[in-house]
Amino acid sequence: MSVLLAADCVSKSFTGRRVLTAGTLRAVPGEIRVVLGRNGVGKSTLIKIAAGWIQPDSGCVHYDGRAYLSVRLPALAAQGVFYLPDHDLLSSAFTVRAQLTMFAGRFRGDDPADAADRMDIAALIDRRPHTLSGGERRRAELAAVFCRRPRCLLADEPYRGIAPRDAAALTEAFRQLAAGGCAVVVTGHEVPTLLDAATHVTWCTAGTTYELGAPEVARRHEEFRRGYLGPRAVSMTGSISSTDASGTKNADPSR
Amino acid sequence: MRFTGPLILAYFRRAALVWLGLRALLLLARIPPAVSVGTAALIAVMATALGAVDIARRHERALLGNLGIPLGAVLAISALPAVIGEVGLRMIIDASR
Repeated sequence: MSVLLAADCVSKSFTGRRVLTAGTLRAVPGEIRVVLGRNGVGKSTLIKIAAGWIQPDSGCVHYDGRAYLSVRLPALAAQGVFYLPDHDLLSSAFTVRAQLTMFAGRFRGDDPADAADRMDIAALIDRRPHTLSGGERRRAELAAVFCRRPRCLLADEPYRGIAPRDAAALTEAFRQLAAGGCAVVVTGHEVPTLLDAATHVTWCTAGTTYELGAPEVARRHEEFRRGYLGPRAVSMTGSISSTDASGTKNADPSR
Repeated sequence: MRFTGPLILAYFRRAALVWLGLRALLLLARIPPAVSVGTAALIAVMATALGAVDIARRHERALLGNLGIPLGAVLAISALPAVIGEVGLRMIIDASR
């Protein structure tokens, strides 16, 4: 396992409220890493720090063997990082095609028409993003990712507010990117969808993070089930009565 | 530059409109076009600041960041129309005297 990007032991406070005390996020080529946790525990903050969108109070970001105490998104983006925010990646001032062309031309990714075909937005490519539905916009943004062909994709709550069919298209896109060697990190609350897509689960809680491992291990993790999934979600993700000893041992939040 | 040209052109055009708007407001306030160098600089700074506000309002920081374009570069582009406009206006006023 070679980590391409890591936000290492980062902390962050907002107006006196400490959101993260020692969170770590890793992105590994070929993997889809999912960061789960309750609202306000710092999932988005962690992904924003990793992307250089906001700066941590302490800790550092490692990318491709280099450590950065302070790094901005444009610098990371030029080296292959793509940050998909929870809303509005594409500007309403330009058509989807114009923006896909910017990414494809600047970074020599997929052809805009091919990317649009892949994400099933070929008929919408000459429209402006604000005229699209939420799901269509998300697919257009994923088309932009294919036009960029990043080495690392950090997606903040990409499944929020979209229909199951669009969610399936997104999952397929993440899988294709990971199969191509991209390191994918996704956050969100759509547990069944995210666990279905994931190859690795990170639990963000109480200002820190725990590497739970494969989704099957995460599903069996007693603390994770109690602290995050809850009884209803556990039944949705598959009811398992016993706790996996190795999973618990490797990722016990009380340790 | 070749592929982000439309983006840069759009920011230039927006900044030019902001500068024209500011100048129109000054005229409405009965302030003559010939202003001091300090006031002209202030107009350029205001036009640039409004450009930054417009980028934030349109949520375009993520697009720019993912394209590898630093915000500072866009703000420099946003300052250009105001600087060119103020210098040009001063030259026209000086020549007409």
